[in-house]
Amino acid sequence: MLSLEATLDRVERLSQSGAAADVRALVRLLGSEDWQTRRAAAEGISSLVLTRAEGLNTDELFRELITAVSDKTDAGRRAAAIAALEGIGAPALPALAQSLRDSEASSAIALAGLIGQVGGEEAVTLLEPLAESRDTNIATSAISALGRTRHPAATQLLLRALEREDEWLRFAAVGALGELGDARAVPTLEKLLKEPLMEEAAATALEEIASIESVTALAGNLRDEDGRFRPRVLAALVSLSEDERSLPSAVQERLRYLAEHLFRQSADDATFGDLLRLTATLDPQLKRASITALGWMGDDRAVPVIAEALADPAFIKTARRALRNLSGNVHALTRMLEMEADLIPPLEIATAISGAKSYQAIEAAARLSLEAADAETMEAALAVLAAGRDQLRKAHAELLDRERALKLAESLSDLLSMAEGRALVEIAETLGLLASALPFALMERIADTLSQVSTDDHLLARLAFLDNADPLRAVEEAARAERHKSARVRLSAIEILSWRSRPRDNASLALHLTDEATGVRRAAMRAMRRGAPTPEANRAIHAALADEDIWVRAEAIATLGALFGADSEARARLREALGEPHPLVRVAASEALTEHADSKDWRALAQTVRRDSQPEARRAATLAFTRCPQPRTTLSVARAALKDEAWPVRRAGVQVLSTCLEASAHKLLLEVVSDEDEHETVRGAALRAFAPLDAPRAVSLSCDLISTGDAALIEDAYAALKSLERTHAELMEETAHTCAPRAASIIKAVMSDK
Amino acid sequence: MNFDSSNQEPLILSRDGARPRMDESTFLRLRDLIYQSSGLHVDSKSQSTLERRLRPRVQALHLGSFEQYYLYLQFDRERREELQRALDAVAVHETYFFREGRALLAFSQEMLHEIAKRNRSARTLRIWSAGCSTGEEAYTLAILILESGLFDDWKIELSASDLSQRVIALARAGRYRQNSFRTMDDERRARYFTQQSDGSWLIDERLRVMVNFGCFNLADSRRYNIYSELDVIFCRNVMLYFDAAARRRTVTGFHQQLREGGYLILGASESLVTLNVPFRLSHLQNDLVYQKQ
Repeated sequence: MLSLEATLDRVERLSQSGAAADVRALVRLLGSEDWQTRRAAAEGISSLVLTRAEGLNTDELFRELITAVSDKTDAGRRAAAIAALEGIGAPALPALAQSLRDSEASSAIALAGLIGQVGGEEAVTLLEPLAESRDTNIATSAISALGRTRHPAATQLLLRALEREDEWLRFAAVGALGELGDARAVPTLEKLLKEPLMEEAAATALEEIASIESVTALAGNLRDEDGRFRPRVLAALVSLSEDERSLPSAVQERLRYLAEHLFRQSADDATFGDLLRLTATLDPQLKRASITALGWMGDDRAVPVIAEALADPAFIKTARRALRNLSGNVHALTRMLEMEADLIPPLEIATAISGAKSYQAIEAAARLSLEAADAETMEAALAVLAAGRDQLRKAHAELLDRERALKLAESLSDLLSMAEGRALVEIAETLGLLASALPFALMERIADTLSQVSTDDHLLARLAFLDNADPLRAVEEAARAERHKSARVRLSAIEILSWRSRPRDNASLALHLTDEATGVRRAAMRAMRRGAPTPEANRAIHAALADEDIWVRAEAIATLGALFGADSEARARLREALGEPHPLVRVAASEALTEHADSKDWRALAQTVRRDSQPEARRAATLAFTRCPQPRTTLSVARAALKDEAWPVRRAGVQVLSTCLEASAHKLLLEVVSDEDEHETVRGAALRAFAPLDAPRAVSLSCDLISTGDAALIEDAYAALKSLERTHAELMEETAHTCAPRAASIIKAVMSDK
Repeated sequence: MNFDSSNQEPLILSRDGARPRMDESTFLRLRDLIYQSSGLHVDSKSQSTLERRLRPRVQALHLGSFEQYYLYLQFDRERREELQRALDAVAVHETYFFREGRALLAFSQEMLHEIAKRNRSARTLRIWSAGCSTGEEAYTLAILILESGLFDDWKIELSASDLSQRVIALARAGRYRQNSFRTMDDERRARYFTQQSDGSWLIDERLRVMVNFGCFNLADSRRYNIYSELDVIFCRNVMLYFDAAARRRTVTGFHQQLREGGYLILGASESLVTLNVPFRLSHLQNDLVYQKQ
């Protein structure tokens, strides 16, 4: 008796051969007692067929597999044979069709499921007569299988099945319509919501279709004709909009927004009470729906209910989302902040307001950062403050709501006296961005408050405040702080001076290259890139190339390229750096060489792509070729990169190909998109690059990739379709009529996504 | 461009404008690195979350970009320690005492009694809390074992592990704030904890010495043999963050280290339905749990 490991090794060996005896051995192993062996054998058989192994007799193999599918005595063997046939897919369809003709009922049921899984138009044709069989079991199985075919022709057959009298078949058809995901079925399903027996199944099907049409249908039926609240419909609407689905994030977000918007529109005085009652249900799905909907309503009375749900792990995720929705309401946020930390931990509030773009959220975050008892809460609060600053920065000074900005500034300046550490610095930085709305006296008061205590943090805070409020004064103070005893202060001063002042002579920055703190030396070298290419700078850079810290050396390489890249002597030094032992230096050298590279540099970079032992160095060198003016060299490097064992290098190769105009580059891109074994991010990038080159093919490929259900590929397919939306609208509309229903929904979403 | 080489900025530019942002390519590579080293799956929609959680590390190391941070994790001398910190920042550590009561009732009222009978000749009890975070679950199990009174004079091996060194240090210290007691009654808290001057609660020494804490990466299948012949594995709300492949590898590892009939306890919202692994669902009176076939 072989050990499991030895058996699996044997399966692997057998899977390499198409010899009749080996294939028979693999088929026998489908009946193994060990599940891992059965799974490996099924995968081995699929792989043999798909790779068209030499000498393989597929007719005999399919016969044996189909026989195994009908094995009533061994469920494990049956499941393994089904898995093998599913793995084979379309090539197995003719054999399955043949066996359907002369199989008995139980086999037909199993085969119908398999055919549905294989999918496509041929599968729909094979399933059509079975769906109309007088044997309810066969018909049910075929109807369910039609839902899995991913073909639009199945929709009409399923709608027809709904007209049959047998309730069992109608249920199967409703479920299959949901699985198929065709938005054309929405009007019919919406009518079924009114049949008490069908309500739940129809709501679930609408949820699964997950389209704008189905959101609208569900939101329009939250109450029945007598005005009674319908929890099941609400549950479907919530689940549709909030659960993770195989949808591009932009589409998912749109559905979520629409669901919330329509729900709010339909909510009335009675709704809050209905939802509150529903939170007491024992059905977890309905309870989740009620919590989410309470968040959508934005009523501050819901805060205690949602806080209670936070304590239950089964509902914590839902409660967090609801809290996030509620935090947009001023009264609700105030109520949260007033509650005891035991009831709503401050971390939950900080997380809830992380997406809020309001003055109140900024103020709440500042308060939370002062009260944070742990690092995570502090980070979450500071992240909200940082996001708030991003918003303030985007809103130009003249667009600030002066009254609210002033109120916020007054609150924040009151907090300054209690703040310390990072919270102090970040609150001061935020205050600096409100400066345009502040009266001069308040600005001075803030600056004074920050001068009254002489800790490093207070000095950092003062610099951060002035940096945004009064840059000229910030530069003056930074010039003094440049020699401060604290490395953090020196670092901040260098950053301010290098960003805020005119290009410096770099001589004073060079002095920082002797700083004992590596962070300061790195910052000085970075800052030098923004200065002038003086002889002093050149000497300082060469001195930094001998620094003991690898990061300073890497920054020096980058600075050498940025300031002196056009100089042949500097480039010779950069080429030399491509051969240095530390990969960080090699990565920096590739990037530094790119802008002014000559043919000698391109040759050196091409060698790095082919020979460097570190994937990151190969990747950086590959990316350099996105700017190479020599088409043949570029193409040759891209080819080499596509054969690399590391996917980031292959993805860089795709980026390089996207800059090539040659037809062979386009062909290579197409090969990458079509390669099912390729890493999904490389395939996705190739699809995006390929889209503008051959729109009809790109649309069709996008539909195929959407049907894989892979989240990353779906995002890339969406991006590819989006890039074609303006130029190829007609083509996309045509495709939406013929492609898989789920892909059609995404195309429609792209087209209507203005 | 990875190393910030721009020298064309306007004279006055907000310094905050230089706040590091994570680009798509860096996100994909960081995500891959996290997955390869821990099994944690960061989904493609979580770029901003990852950015938020790792930004403090980029700033603490005075790096100019997330790209540099990725290179730091690849090449710096301190990369191993930093990877720990990165994983610590990415992983979710939320937990509290007596979390998900049904599983604990099944453990204390059913499993422990069955194990006490089954192991009566060997008189050993082996339990592993995998992904124990700050230790609340492991100490909860210690309390339940102690209160059962079934294992006096037995050899009790109660192990608890987590990927993060930081949370293991906190677990070993056994000092907790009020938030950890949200579902524990005051009477139990008074019996097993002593309040400190800063308001925190310190665990009783009897319980502290019952649990052996350690760092363990569930993605590292070579090390599973550290734990063997286990009676129960608790791994609740950990695999939520793994993809299907990592879940399958982890559950296969658990299967190998459990005794025949040993239990695997997952979180209330977790299941093995799609994994095709050899556990059977056992219908205990208090909860549904997985049992090694």
